Amino acid sequence: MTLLGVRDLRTQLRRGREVVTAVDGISFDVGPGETVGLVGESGCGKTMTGMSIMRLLPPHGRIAGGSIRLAGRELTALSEREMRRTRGRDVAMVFQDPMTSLNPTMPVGRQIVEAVRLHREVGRAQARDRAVEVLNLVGMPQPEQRLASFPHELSGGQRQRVMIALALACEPRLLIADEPTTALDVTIQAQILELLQELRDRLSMGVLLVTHDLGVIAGRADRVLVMYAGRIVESGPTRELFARPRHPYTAALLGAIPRLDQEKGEQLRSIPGLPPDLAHPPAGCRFAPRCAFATERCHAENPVLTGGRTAYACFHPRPASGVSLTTADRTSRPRPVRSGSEPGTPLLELTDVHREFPLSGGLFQRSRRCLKAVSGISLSVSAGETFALVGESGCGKSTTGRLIVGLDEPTAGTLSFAGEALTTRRERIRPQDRQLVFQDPSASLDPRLKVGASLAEPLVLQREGDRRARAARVAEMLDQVGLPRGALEKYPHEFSGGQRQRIGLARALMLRPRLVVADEPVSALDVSVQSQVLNLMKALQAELGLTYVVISHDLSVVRYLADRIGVMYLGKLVEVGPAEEIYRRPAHPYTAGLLAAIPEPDPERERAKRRKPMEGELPSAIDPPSGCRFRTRCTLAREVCAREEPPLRPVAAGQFTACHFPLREPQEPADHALAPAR
Amino acid sequence: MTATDRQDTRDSHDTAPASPGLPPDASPAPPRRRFGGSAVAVFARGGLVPGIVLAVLVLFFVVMAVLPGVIAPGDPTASVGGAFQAPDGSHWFGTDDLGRDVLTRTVWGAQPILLASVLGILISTVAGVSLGLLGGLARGFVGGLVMRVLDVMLALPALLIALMVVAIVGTGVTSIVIAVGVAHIPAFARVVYGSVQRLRTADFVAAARLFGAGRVRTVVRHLLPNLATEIAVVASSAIGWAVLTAATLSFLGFGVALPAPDWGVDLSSGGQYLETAWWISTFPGLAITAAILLSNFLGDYVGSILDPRRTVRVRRPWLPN
Repeated sequence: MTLLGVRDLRTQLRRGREVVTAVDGISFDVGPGETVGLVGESGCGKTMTGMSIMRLLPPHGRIAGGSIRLAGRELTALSEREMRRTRGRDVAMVFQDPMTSLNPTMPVGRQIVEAVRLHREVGRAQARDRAVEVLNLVGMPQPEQRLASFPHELSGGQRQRVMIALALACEPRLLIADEPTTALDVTIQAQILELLQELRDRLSMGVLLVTHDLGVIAGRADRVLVMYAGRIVESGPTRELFARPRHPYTAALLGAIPRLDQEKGEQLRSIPGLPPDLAHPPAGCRFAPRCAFATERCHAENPVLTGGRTAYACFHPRPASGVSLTTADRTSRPRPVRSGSEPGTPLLELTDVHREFPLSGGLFQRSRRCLKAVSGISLSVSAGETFALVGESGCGKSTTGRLIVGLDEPTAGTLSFAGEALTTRRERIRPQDRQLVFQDPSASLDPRLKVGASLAEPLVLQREGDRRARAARVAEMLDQVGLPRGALEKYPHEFSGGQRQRIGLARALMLRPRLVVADEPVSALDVSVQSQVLNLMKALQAELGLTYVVISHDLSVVRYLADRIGVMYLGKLVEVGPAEEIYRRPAHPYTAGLLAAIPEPDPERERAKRRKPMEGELPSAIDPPSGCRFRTRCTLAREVCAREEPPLRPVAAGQFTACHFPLREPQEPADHALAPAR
Repeated sequence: MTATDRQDTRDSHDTAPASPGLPPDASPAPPRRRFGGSAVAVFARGGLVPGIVLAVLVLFFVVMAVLPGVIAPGDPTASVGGAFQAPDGSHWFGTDDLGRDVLTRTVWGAQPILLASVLGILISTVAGVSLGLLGGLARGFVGGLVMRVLDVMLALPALLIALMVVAIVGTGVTSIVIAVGVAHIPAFARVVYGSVQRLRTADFVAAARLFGAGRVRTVVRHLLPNLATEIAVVASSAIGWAVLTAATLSFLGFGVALPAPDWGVDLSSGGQYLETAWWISTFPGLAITAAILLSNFLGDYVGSILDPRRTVRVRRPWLPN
């Protein structure tokens, strides 16, 4: 029996004088107690599908046709009034950003009580009891006290728990989760996903899990629907779909993700071109213009979704017997040998660097409290290597990046570059030495300057060359990052996210810096575009002999780029070592927990993982825990961890960890020879 | 993981073409329907018809202020017939207590008010933007001082500030210009200050610092252009407030000396005959209203055409009175 049956749903949005068919004739079912994953790139219509079911479309949108049946009731035929009663009671939704979906002016308890009383004839006291009950259900610590909290007083993970509690307050039969964990850290993401699955089993809800993250889908969905340009192009049980994707788009998406189990030096595959404009969709298969296997028939005729359990809409499906494309189709490339990377000559060195931000304590008194963003970091980066800083948000990795390029000054400790200590302001900002690639390229490019002017600015400021020489250099850089010359005369907003990040890269490289700090360089981009930017970064490194410091929360991205990794936790470096070693044999319990929390796009592996996500959340950096800062979340913590701070000790060749009870036996430096050669 | 996925429909082109291996032109530019940089296209952003209508009206008021004789060739101070004649075919707006043509006086009366308003707003723009930048960029004592002084000014009605200035400088058109100018400084300074607070921590400002840009360059090259829209919007709407302030000052008798025509003066002198000859003060009053309305529409329109991103946030700036 099906819970939700969607048939030939079409949703249209008005855009000026055009009509965009955001969802174009899709059909699918969700059964009770089943999780169906809906996956695709931005703009493929997956959010609009969820919004159509909830009938929460934007004012310029409407359901143009088709049927949505929830437990036998036709939702499209309901009046707005009836629909209001259905929402929340029979079908509920969890949104991506709990901060904007919760009312900031109301305590969370009252918001839940309100939801309960809208749908149930209960008194205030009973509704309050129900609120405590659901908060308990979603694993909120101290639910009684939390009722009076306002959304801003909760952490991101707690807010998402409240959002889920709100959705579950009236025990809906169907839950639509639209990117429920996209705004959260990996460890919190694992907790929330685990929670959703547990609640689904307990309440036997149907769950429609909308996400762009194939890793999340792999571990949590029973069946998967792949959407492209408003249509479902492939559907099937998760394991089969991941093992044998039949549609070229699915295969390409899977190929574009950097994975933990990937060999180093492999190039990521990417999907060329752009998704079509849905106001004027192409006649035939919508993926045909970007498809490597497209023939004339694909451009003329529209393939329909055919098949039973597994269905695909393609004339030239990938072989059903074939091995998984995700590993076979990757092109393996030898890692380029870099010039000038002599080990033992550190290009950048940080020695016991601290950065504390004083907190203002009101109008007249000076507060002695401060936020310890970075507390005592020492590391060195050699020329030509890629060093990655990873950790949850708030661990101080971005501050470290800003310290390296000189946008911020350390409150204690020293930085040195190429053997020279950076002490004066002039020494700290050296455009020719160190540059920064920002996370959000739309914020780091001046919206009022044409791209050509933005790119030329570093040269103008450094008085390099005359007008003609500068123009030549700008053109050269554009070629290098793969942008057309026409880009010079355009404004940043006229580009897509991936193109803007290329512009950001080009500008950072304008003065031929030796070290580039990349702060979350791809986290604002779609998967298919991420791989393009990552490939480009790698190619540029090989070509120009760059040294990278990559800052990221995404361990799979880091794995693709990094030679060495530093894991940060609450302002401290807890583990440093060669990337391979860290991924294969992490020594710090935090590193191990982080690695386990990453959702991998591999159903077998995901399901085999022990389901016990790291507990708790990052403590406050204002009053960090005594001793080892991780001890509050560590399962191995003992009394000594609260008393003594563990120093960084070697555990293997080049691998250091700061833990009293590391997962690998600590070694004396002399024992290096005994470390297994890899 | 922070992919911008919820912007599904709005950001339907958020994918970049052309991997580094491909030739650059294998990537078709996203089919965005945006206007280029040509003047017509820029104006078309705000709508061509409202643009033309506004342009005609603005031109009309400019001519009225600069060359009133073109529209009303008569002498505004000469008696043209009997006093208190109601509007009719020969005197469309009627005549006043001294037999002067109200239409001619209304047209000529625009000059002192509009001139004082535009010049006054020029003064407040320059002074307000400078103070806003200073308050927003200077840290410590100077910045604090500037903003506290502005806070005090904001607490006083613009008219009160204007009256204080007139009390110091004396009467006449020049002093009205100065009074109007000083009175509206805080409106500009506040808007600029707020935006500077937002922009100074923007990534593109940090990027400029990383390329070695100094403070002055950052302000001139990055801050001011990004503030231009807001300043232009405030300035065009502020002319309306200035008209009101200037008209009020001359209504109270601090402006031009009689018998020269002036909206405020005529409004005031016609006031005593309102029961018997409504037209004497009604038409200058309507002229003031029209000028203020036009200025408001102009503000909205300027906001909509100036931003290349077309993400226009025409918020009503803080009103001083």
